[in-house]
Amino acid sequence: VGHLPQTGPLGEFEHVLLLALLRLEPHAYGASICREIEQRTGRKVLLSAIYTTLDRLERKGLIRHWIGEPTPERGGRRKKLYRLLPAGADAVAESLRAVQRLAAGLERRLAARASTPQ
Amino acid sequence: MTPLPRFVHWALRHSVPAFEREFVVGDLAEEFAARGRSTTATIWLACQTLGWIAAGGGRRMGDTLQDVRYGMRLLVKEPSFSVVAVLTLALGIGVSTALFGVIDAALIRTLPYPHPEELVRLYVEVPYPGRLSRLVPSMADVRHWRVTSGVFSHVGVGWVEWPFDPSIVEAGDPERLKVGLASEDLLEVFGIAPVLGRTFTAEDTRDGAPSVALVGDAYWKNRLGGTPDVIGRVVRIADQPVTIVGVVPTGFYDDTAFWQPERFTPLWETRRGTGTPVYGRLRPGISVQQAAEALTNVTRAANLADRGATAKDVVVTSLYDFETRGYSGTLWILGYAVAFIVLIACVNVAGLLLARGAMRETEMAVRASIGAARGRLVRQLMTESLVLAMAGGLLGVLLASLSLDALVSLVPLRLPRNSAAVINVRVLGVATVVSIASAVFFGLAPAIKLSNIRVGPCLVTAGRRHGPALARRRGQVLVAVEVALAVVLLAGAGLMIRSFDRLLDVGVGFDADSVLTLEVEPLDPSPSVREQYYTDLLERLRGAPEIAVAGALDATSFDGGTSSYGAKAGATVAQLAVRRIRPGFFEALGVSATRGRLPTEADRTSPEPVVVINETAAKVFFPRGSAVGGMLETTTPGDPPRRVIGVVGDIRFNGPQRQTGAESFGVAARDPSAAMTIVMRLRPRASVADVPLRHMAQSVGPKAIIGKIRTGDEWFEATTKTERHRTLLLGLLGGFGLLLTLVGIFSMTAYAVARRTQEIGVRMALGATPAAVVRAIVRDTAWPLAIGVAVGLVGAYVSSAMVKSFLFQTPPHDPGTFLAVATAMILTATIAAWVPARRASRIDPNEALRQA
Repeated sequence: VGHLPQTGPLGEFEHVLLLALLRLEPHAYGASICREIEQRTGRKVLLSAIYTTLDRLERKGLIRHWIGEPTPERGGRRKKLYRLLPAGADAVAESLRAVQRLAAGLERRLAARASTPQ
Repeated sequence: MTPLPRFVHWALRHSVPAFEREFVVGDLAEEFAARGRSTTATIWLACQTLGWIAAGGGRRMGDTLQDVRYGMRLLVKEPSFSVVAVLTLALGIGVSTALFGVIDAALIRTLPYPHPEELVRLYVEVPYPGRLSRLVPSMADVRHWRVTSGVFSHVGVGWVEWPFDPSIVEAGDPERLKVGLASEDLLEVFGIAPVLGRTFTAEDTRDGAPSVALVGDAYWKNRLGGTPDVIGRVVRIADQPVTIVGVVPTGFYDDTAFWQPERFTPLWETRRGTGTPVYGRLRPGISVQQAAEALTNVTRAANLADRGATAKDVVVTSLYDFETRGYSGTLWILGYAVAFIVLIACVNVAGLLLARGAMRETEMAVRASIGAARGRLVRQLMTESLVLAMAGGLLGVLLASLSLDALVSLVPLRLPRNSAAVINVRVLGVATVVSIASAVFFGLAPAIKLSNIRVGPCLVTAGRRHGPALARRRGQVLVAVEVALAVVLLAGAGLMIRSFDRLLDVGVGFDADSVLTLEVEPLDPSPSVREQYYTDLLERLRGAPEIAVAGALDATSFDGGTSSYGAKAGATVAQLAVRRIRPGFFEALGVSATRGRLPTEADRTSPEPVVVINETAAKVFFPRGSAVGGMLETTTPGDPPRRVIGVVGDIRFNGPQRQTGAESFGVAARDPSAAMTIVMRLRPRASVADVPLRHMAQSVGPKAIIGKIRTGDEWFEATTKTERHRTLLLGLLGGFGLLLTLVGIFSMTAYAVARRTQEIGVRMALGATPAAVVRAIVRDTAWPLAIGVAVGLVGAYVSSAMVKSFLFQTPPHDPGTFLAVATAMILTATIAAWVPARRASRIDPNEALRQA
């Protein structure tokens, strides 16, 4: 019943998750990722969406989880920690490059049109 | 440590997979604490929890869809199993749906009017010496109540249910039509507003007021052109010109062509017990008891007397209870019979699932070994059952909608004329509930059994296509259960059939074969013209080559009408039914005198009136056997005594099920009946179609109304209709039960044989004869069969009390019937087991062993 690792472009939320994960390593787990995304992007995130997407990324072979130690603030419960695999680093780098290539030379035009000053 | 609210734990337990729950709860607890457990934090937590529930629900839905798809694939993969299971369920669900449709029409939609719970019928209790008599109130009572009591929004009197049949002369031939009678405010009681014109007023009911009528929508559209100028049009009803003042909409006694106002003379208005029913609509919120109290008070206070008797109490009955009285017996029997059919169908499918389950042990073991939880397996198996039940349910509803019309004519309930049986939302709802309930019933036990699999032993034998004999013992229990259910059903059907057989044996006292009856009524009011009309008509009929003999009888006798009077012979006084005949009547029925002689034409004009009496009358009035030559006097003053010239056997004019009372048949020519039934006997090989009866009756003299033309057989069928239908319906249900049992035993045995192919092959290779194989397999069914029949007979013995009131000269524990039922069951079951067993005995040992 195994799913083959899937390649292809990252989804937007996958992209966000991978960046947050990279930023938090080696302390990336549900709660910290949630907080990081909320603080950096200002968007509300559902933990269930994070878990579902992390699960999908893991099945794509981009990340891997390990079980961490229990901590008192979690009521003695363990963490499910994630780290980036080389394929994941490639994917996020490629995704970033794609955005950069597309965005190259557009800064002034964007600034002229945007409603809020950059 | 910061505990989370309990509902979060509970919600997560149901939505987060177990292997991830610890991390999720940990994350939520940590974040909840980091956010300071404030109100915003709580809202955040609630949102997060909802997010998990949504995600979990989606995941579970995915499972269910997967299960449904898997179930459908299995159905297609094993067509023989699917066809038997789905058809079995379709039959069970179809029968129950269709019968519910009929019951729905008969009971639930009995009163298709707005707020039927407000409708009541009314009576007054009047003391007569020594007893209380329950009478219909007088019109004066009704009018008094309407003004003083304050409990009615409308109240009126009228004949809506048993309308008279006056004659109406419209353009062309006169015809008999249903004409209802109503007082003012009666249609309003039922919430009926006229399509055109008006309804009746109190003025219309006054004796001597101009004659008016309302026309029914159907008659207006079909016969009067359906145009508004019908208002003011004059038609003739019962030979009186009548002006149409309104049109009654469809949905209110549609077969009634006209409504006329009930007329009240001052005497008639104050008279109680006239028979005209009183209907009322209570004001919203007024209960039947409150109404009865209020009406009793105002009635006593007013002291409206009728012939000196003062009304004591007013009785208020819900119209619904009144209309559905006497149904419960029939309904319970039908309900039980249908429940049995559904149960047998379920047991059948459960047996099939068990048998098939034996083949799926390996599949279940594999699933369990790679981590499927038991609950997950049960859910999958139950989903498969539901798929089966829904397929059966769909087909069942289709069957029901196809068979509904036939069933309506079979069900021995009086369907209200205003409602038709249809598959509506309520009926569909019941079909759905029955489908789901049956899925649970037939699916749960096999699912639990099958999911409780021990992985080890099954996987070891996985290569071979059989596991332990999982289905055998349970299969036998199921066979016993279904045999027992079918025996109870069959016994009920058998008793009905036996009873109907007795009914046919008893007969009606004459030979209905070759009898032909014709209802006629000359429209001329003068007795002498009518007398001449009948004489001429009979003469013409007797001259027809096809007719052997012809006579006549009062018009309504064959429809159950009698007029009884007090009569006296010597010291004996008793009730005597008085019928008027024309000579030739007894000969036409093939009835001869047991003593004395039959009347002749000469007796019609003899100075001393003569009568023929039946055996019952002879016993009652002349107990010492001196009937012939005896004198009968009626207690009516001025009526001359009549001499008895002959005695005939009892004739059961009301059908074989009802005993005849004392009856007399007079032939005197004076005061002839207006309407009579001509009774003829056809010559051998002559057919009804050969005689131009209508033409003969119409051309003989004055204009006449020609009513029903019936053969004796048609009449006999009509009088025994209820019994015939009840017997047919229960017989049909019993037959279904037997058929389902046959299918069940057949398929279970066939599965057992398929499962044991290798075993049988080995046995035969080792020298078992085909006969021994057949015996062994049939023997597997024998014990459950014997136990099932025994239990079923006990059940039938206990439950036959229910049908007791429907049985005619048949004891509810009729041993002959029980014996026949047991024999039929055993024979059927043995055949059902024998066919697959025979197939097993033809197994080629080489082939079977090679498969192993």
